[in-house]
Amino acid sequence: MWLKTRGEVLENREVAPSVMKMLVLAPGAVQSLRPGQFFHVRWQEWSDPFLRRPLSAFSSDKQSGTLGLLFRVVGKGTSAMRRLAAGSHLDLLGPLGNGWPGPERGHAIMIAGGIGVAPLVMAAGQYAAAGVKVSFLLGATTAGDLLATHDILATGASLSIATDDGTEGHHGFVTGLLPGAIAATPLGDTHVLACGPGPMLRAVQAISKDAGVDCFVSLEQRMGCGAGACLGCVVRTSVPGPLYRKVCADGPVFDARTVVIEDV
Amino acid sequence: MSNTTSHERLADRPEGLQTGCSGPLAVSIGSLSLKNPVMTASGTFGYGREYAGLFDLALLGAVVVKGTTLNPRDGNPPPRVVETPSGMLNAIGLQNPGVEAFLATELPFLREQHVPVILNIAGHTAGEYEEIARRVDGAPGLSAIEVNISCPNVDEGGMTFGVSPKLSAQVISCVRGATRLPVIAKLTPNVTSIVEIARACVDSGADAISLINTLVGIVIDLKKKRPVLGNVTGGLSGPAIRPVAVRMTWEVSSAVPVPVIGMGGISTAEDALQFIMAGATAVQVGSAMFANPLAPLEVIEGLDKYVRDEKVASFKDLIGTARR
Repeated sequence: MWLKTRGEVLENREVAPSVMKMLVLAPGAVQSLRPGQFFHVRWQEWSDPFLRRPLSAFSSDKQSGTLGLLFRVVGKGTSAMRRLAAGSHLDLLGPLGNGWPGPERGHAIMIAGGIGVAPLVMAAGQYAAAGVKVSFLLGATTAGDLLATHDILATGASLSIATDDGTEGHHGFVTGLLPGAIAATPLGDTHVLACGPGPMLRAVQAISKDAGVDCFVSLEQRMGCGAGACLGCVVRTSVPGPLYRKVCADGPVFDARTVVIEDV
Repeated sequence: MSNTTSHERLADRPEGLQTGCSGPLAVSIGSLSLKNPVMTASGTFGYGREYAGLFDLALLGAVVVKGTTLNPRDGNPPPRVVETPSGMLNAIGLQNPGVEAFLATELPFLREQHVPVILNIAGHTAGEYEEIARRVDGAPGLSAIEVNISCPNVDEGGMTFGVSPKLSAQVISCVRGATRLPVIAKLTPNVTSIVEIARACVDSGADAISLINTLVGIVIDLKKKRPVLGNVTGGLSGPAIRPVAVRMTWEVSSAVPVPVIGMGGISTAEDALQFIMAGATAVQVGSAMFANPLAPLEVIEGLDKYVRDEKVASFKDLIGTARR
């Protein structure tokens, strides 16, 4: 069950160009939080920007009651959130959405592009703690844009890096690392968790399908209520049943075989 | 009641507000008596299920549910919403499970919430509106029908009817003939004379008018060089449209003898009072829900405080005061 809670910003700093890491004290919000869920965030009382911003949970600590958010500054909402100083308040709806499937097999491949790393780091920690061997594939346009590498390594996952310009790791898209990672794990004992831009997720979807590996993708869409009421944030399905499913309430995590991934 | 100051406490304490229909905020819409004049606007509250965990729905004056059609509808391709200055465009396209699923699944749930339920209906033809009204007539727990002749996001039906006095009258007559429930006509602002449409609806048997639905707009994605919304156009809602909505509430309530339910950018009790003073008997809170899901309760609480602070004997005395 989700709640409406008030959080206090403890820290808000730029960890890469135009990427902020915010630590929020919000004990009520994190108690039932699962990796892959998100919060629908509002930071002001006035009417412009009008809508909340959906942000994945990047980290949480139930004991201290803190929630970590990692977000890229892209528009006027995130620009305003960039300026929030310690002591500011956030209005949080959540935790919302389904989150990633739990750790059930011996291996998992997590693949993230850019800010898509945000919902995967908690999953890496949860999986590693459950004894799953996690291969984390992380991509960015250039070395300076790589995010959360220390957080990923701290989970115990093995980390492979790709940069579009070749300044670190594999020279090219992170999806170039996926076939090798799949080949290196026992078939039937692994699945892929992915988050990133549309073209990347479509490539991950196709590679996983060809390899016969289960794949789960975390999607984003322009969102209204966040609670499943307004039907604003749908994704088209590719299987029998309802033509559209709600990213906020049925997702944001979907079985990659069931959805048509578009660029947002 | 005088110490009910925060919405969190209000949500926890159903007895914190008047729940009977004789309290200071009580109003009537035709034969329908409401304990307070604040409803959720159709399309912003689903079938109530999504918010029932957050607060007691019985605190609301009424729940107006998602626009429901005879058969299930898939809705429009995404993106379906986009933010605009102090508002948003939506083009959901009436995605809904159809009237039979409403009767089988949603209405029984809502009945247990002990809140008046108003069903918003939409159709491709006047006959479809009539058929929905006939199927729900007498359904336990249903209090009224809001006839959506104003949805801008579907190819057929919806606003196609609401821009024509003749077609509006035809739909309202059909619904009127098929139900004993109060009939509310929900009007579109995308017309030359909303008063003319309102008169046609009242002459055809509407017990009340609700207004306004959304204003048609487009937002262009500069990177993709095409409209953001999958449907190209969408309906504008939010604080940006409030003065237009208050003006139309003023015009229509001056012209017709039935209650007007005002909506369009209401987030606070102060916003609601503008509609009431312009002539509305009740209000609906819509997209403000997305920014603040407790907005309807805060509006009720604020109205309650207002009538006490201003020593208003009855809320009804406030209706249309700005026009006198």
